Amino acid sequence: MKPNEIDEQLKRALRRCEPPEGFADRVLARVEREASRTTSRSVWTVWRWPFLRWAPIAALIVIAVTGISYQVHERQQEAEARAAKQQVMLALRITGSKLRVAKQKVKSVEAGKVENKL
Amino acid sequence: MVFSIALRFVRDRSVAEELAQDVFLKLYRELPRLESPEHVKFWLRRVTSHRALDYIRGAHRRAELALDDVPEPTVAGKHNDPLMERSLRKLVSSLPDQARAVIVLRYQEDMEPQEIAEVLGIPAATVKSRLRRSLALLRGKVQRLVGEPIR
Repeated sequence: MKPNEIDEQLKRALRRCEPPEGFADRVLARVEREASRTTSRSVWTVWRWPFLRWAPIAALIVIAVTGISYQVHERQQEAEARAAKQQVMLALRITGSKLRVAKQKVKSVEAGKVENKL
Repeated sequence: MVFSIALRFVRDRSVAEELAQDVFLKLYRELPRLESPEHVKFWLRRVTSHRALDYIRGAHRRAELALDDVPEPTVAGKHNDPLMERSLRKLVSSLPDQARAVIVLRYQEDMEPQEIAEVLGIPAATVKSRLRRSLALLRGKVQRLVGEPIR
């Protein structure tokens, strides 16, 4: 036997073995299963993020607050409009009564002038 | 490479395939963290070796192997002596787990002791001493087998 012959014989004896037929397909199938499971799991993982979990609730609160604020604003405007209407009516009533008084005064003045002429 | 390392470590084709599939599945998960083809190769050898050694430690089965259980290479080598190669494979299979791991990585994967040390996570000196002891053991057994001294 030559020196280091056992090294060479071991290298030859321990050549790599090929995997069984279909091995690559089976690995790919497992990887695909893993990939699909990871995708569905990642959706749930995203849902577990605190921000995203509370986002719909926060949106509902914002919508409710906005709606209530709008209603309050609308009611305030209605109340202001009613008050303005009442003030206008009052002003008109006052104006009407003052016009009547002025008219009566004009009539009485005109009647006095006629008597003086006679 | 992966299947072959697993097969020589665990000496069972179905277990080796299962282990190799696990390793590739793990590779798929870890791929973004691996930086180069060399890194992938190192990673595959390391993970396969550790998985196979873990399996062996867990299995606790050291039954004497029949000759047919010893994995045969699929490609014939040049100037080969089929009987000697078969005997050597059987002798390697009968080595203790850690010694077999070192021999397989040295002669199947053609790795240097330093690389084997990095893959197995043991000191290079330990790898060298295991190689020396294993080779001495194999030489002795081959010598008894063929009836003449071998270096």
